[in-house]
Amino acid sequence: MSTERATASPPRESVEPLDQGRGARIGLAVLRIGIGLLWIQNSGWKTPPNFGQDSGTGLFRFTTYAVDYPVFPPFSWLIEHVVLPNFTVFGYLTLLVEVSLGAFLVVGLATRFWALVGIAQSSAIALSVLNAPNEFPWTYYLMIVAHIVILTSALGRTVGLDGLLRPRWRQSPSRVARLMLRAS
Amino acid sequence: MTAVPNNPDGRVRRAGYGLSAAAAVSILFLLAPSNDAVRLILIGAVAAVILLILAVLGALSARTGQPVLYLATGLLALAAAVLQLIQFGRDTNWIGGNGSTVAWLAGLGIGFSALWYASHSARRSD
Repeated sequence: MSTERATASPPRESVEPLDQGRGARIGLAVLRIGIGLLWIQNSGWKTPPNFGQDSGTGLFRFTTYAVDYPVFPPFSWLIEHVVLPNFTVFGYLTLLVEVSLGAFLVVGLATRFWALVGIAQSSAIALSVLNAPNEFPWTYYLMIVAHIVILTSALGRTVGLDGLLRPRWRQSPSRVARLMLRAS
Repeated sequence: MTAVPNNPDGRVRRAGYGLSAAAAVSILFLLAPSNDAVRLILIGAVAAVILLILAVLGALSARTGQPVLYLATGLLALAAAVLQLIQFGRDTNWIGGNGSTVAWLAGLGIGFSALWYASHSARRSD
């Protein structure tokens, strides 16, 4: 019996390594660049200076969904009492975050940091619109999962600037270089 | 052939060509129909000209390996991104884009500027 159990659960060292081949690296780069392009497209309909506040459209409409179709009541309270009264500031902040997510993920710079930001932003969007009519919840779950893969696999090191710059940062004694090593 | 990936200058050069190619290919979005299913980036005529200049300058940077050319390309892209950020959604919009145009130009600007840093630091350490 004990022999059978030993055979059924192999020792930790024998775990098969992930595929490191060219195809796998290209596929992972496609994932990172594809997600970056989605953020780039998503920043296209956030239009300053009022972000749809005047006409009840655009970012303003989607933000009010958090109050009209609540997913998580504390988040709805935050939107109603903090975000909506300061909507222009929130609009610019959202635009800058999504522009940066697109720009940095596409070129693969500080990728782990931006993957974390992507998880936070995708979660915030999910908490706003999951219960709204005509929304497809899988979209947001898939975005969160994709960012988790980018974060845990450090995908900027594959066909990205992180892979190019990390050897230089490693040689540099500066605090910025150490920070970038952690962020990549 | 196998020596190229381990050669820092070779890797920077390949990245330079890659970014230049990305800038050139993105001009094709000029032809994309105006629906969100296929148009990932809004590219108008002026943005197309800017991207063409960035692609040529970027390729020239990669060919010559001159750090200052990478920097000039990066700063040009970043300046265009800032101008687009200031103007889109307003009556005056010279580049004719939106937030997606800002993000794409910013990505190219960040990329070429990072290549300036990479090639500059490689020369300093030589």
